[in-house]
Amino acid sequence: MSKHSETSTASLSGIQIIEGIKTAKNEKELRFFQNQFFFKYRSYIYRGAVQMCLYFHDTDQLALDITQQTFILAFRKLIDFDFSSECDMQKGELLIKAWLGKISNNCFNKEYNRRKGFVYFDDLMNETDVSDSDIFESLYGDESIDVPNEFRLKLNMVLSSLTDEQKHIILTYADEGCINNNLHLSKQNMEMLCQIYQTSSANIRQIKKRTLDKIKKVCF
Amino acid sequence: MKATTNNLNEQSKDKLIEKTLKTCGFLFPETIAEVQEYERLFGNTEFTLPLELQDPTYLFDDSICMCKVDLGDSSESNFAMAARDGLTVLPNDIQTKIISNIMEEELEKKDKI
Repeated sequence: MSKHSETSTASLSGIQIIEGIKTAKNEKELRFFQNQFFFKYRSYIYRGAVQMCLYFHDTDQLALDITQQTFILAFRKLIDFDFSSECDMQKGELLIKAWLGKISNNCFNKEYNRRKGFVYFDDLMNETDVSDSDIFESLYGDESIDVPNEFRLKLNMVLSSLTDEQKHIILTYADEGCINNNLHLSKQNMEMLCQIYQTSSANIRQIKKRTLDKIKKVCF
Repeated sequence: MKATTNNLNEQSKDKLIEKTLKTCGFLFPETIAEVQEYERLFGNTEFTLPLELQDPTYLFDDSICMCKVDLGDSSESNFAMAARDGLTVLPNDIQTKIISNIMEEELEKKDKI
């Protein structure tokens, strides 16, 4: 890829690039914008993937796989989301990163679970009961974040002391936003965890509860 | 002033744990606020990427590629021109034209608002 194509990324916003992909008149134009999208977000995704995989085995390869799969899936799913409705360019960038984050979290689950021997028949396909419009709305979130620094440090410390199994389970719950004991993990993810760890759903819930108790004991 | 974790009920503690996991690198941030907090903490610093991410050619490998968008009624003359030149990237003048077209459309959209 020529340096000109890489440096011209700076002149196009993420939303403009996405619109370029959707309205491309021919394959070369499409390829140009797909390349721009890749160059613009590859660092963000890869860095996040490395951080995410830091405490797991095979960090580099896992992070690379997550990054590559994220872009493959993103290009497939782009057609289903209308980012042009966001007029604020800065907010648009955050929106795209939030959307890519959702995809990357799913890719992490699939890649990690595959390493654990879980077989996916529909490779890369995200099966979800949530509609695309609901997913899009959820990207806006509902509250600002206010995390005390001390809390962050404590959480880092306790997470690094957990086993891979405990980490994987608690992150799976957190990704679905159902760490709370009154909420249930999706059937799909619960079956996946049961199969990987060769145990029952009751035991998975028990591991989650004990891990959460351990986290709370240190952090609060 | 940052909030403290004193006097939080269980539900709030759970939410705080989830949000922190998504902004501290254990999970990817999935909302605008989470991305903002994540970037506030970790910045936008670029770093050395592995060889496999230096270019996106893997995305267009026929064995895995489903990245092609249905172009519908594309102009045959554009394909003919591309085929004649045998280019693998768009010429600079066309790239410039594409960018200026997009900029014009964005301005029109903003004017309408």
